[in-house]
Amino acid sequence: MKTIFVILFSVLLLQISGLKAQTQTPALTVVKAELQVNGLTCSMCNLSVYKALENVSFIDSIKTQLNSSVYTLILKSGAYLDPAVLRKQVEGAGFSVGKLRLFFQPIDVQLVKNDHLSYGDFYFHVLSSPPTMENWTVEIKDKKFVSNKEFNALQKSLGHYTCYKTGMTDDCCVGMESSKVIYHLSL
Amino acid sequence: MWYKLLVFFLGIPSVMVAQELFIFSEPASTMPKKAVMFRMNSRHYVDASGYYYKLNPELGFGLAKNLMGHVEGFYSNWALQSGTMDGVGVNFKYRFFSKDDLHKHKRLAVTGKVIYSFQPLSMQYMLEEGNTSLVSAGLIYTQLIHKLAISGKVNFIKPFTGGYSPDGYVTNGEWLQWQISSGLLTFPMQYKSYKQVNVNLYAEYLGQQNLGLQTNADLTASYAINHDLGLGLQFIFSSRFTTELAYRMNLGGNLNRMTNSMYYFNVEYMLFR
Repeated sequence: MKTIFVILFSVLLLQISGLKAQTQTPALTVVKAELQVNGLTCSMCNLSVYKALENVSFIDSIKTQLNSSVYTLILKSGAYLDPAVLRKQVEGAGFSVGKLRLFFQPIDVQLVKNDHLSYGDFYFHVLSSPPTMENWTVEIKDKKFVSNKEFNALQKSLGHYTCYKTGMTDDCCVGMESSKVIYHLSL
Repeated sequence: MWYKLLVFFLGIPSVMVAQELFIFSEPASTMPKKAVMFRMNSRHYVDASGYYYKLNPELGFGLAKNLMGHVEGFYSNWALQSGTMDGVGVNFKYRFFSKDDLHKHKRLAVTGKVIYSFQPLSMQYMLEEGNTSLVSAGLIYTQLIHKLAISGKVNFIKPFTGGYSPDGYVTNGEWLQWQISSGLLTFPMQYKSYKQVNVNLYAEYLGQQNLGLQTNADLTASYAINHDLGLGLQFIFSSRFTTELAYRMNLGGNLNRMTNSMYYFNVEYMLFR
């Protein structure tokens, strides 16, 4: 009898933990991203980036604006966008990321400057708060996602944030797990 | 005459967009990682003694984001009127500097080439086309200036056999080559889809000099030097399939060559993975 109780209890516990895992939906959901690629001068080069992006697991579909070298990426539902993967694919094709703009699902909380948010396996650091959380969108401002000039200027103004320089959470990221990848978001 | 042509191509109106998929030379850009390229070059020469051709099949691989490798073969009817296999080769290109901006870039790459030739004697005019066993190393710089793609290459060649020409010239030394290429996209004026046919125009200047003194039949010594101009038209279909028609002519120099001009035809397919 005792054994049966233990088994039933364990099953119940498992179910609860399973339910808990299901209800832990991400606070942040990226639905779409706009990726501008630098260095492209021909449609063949453009296609090589398109083909490289086609292999990315979290991308559902890609639309291309050839003239402006912008790729609009629609994400698979429930998938996390990993900026590093996009950068790796673009660089693998022989080019570099000019801009990466993320389009989020609306959230109830108004984000303010220096908010830190967990997303997938890494963190976001909000550098400037979006005016509205309906259809809010931000750009990633980290190294190799902006020009070297912009990165150096931001690094100067964000001198006290070691995490901006290294791209990893540090003492400046209070309450965050240390040595995790962190991206910095701005309008 | 040749410098006037260069000035013309350098000064072409800036309404057009640059293209750097050169015909007679290579840009500092490398192939996309994991991509495979199939290419068949053919060169055609006509002179009083007949018609000559050279076929140059090539297979290229994007080995890493900034490294590519090619294997190639050379087949011609130069030695005999029937075709013979002239040689085989491998070459690599490593891009070590890249500065990208929207619709433009500056790039630097180094190249290395090894060719093994089955032919016993080489031409006096140095070609990396299987007539001579050789190793070569080069440096390429490519940049977009005012919507014009400009590329320059300096190449050093160490041949393993001396060159000869029918009138008794002998060359034994290393060679230095230099190339300046420019390219323009003429159609479409605006990119809208991958299916659009691209039409590109190219003008390329190719020079070379033997670094050793050569001795001719009457025992006078001089440096062998040559200047060529290549003009080409390139069509790209579905952003994958390329075909090129070009003409290469001699602008000056003292090299003895099979013919002073050449017609060039190329087909190429890029397989992205």
